Amino acid sequence: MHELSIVQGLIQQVEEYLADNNYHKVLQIDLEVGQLSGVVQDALQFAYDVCSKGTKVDGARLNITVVPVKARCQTCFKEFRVEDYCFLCPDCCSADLDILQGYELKIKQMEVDEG
Amino acid sequence: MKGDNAMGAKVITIEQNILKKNEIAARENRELFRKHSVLAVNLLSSPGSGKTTLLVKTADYLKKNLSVAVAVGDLQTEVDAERIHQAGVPVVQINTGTACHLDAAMVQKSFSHIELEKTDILFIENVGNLVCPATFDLGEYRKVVLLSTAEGEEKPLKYPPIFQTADCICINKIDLLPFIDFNIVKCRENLHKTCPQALTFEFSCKTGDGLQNWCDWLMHQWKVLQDEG
Repeated sequence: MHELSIVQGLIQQVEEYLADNNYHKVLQIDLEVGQLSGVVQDALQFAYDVCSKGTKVDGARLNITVVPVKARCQTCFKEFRVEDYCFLCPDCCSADLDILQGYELKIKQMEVDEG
Repeated sequence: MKGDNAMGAKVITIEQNILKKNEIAARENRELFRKHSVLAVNLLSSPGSGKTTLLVKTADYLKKNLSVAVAVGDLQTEVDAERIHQAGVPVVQINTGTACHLDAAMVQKSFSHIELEKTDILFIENVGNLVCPATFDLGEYRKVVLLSTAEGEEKPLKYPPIFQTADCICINKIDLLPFIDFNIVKCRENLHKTCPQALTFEFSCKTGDGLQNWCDWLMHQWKVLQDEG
């Protein structure tokens, strides 16, 4: 359940951002969570619902977009979506891959109330 | 900035890592390890795979050539640290309390108890868990995942994030193979599928079989690090 500590960090980060930029309130927070980030969407949402109570983000909606894993084969340069965590090129079976996305754990954007 | 939405409401593009604080602490750790030419190894596994035994054996193998230190993460108790201490290896215990993983800041706090300038290899024994520790960079040079034959060959398929980011996978307890149903060929296939980038070692900490190759690899990693300056 490391989602709890991740959410605590997230809330602190958003609170600092609001304070630094003189925003009154946050209405929505959009996250991108990669399939390789090791974070479970439901656990993150649950932790957020619990931890946001009584903080400056209380009431703000958390929208989570799961980012699938994509890779580029370094041998035949095919770009493909990694299915079932199989990290081999579907065309040439090479294991020499560049992971293009899937590790994300970031705040993409926020909707704030300027008050 | 993405523009206004409703009255007084505005959508702002942030693009900020949620683990920013950990990222910063991990970078500081990495710089410190590099400054002292310390090979920092983040060792991860399920509970009971044999992390502590592996570290005791490895330190014994390497002690002629390199000085080894260990930072051990556990929710509670100092049992593991005590075992490592008994083996004559400098060790610091990091009790995480309720946290199921180590983060870079926790590792940082242990530095006051470790003489980094006198250390060649620092093993960071993570909390026994194949899920949560995968997300937290500690600033290590190499990430090693330990698996044991008592666990089942499908582990790499069940916990892909931790295996996918590993530099090296060790399969421990191979001395049990004649007595259990663990299919090592299937396990190798699963590892090749999930983490083809990682080197694999197979050994038994109990008999010592295969440990030499693992220790040679560590020695090599240490030399690579020294050459990188």
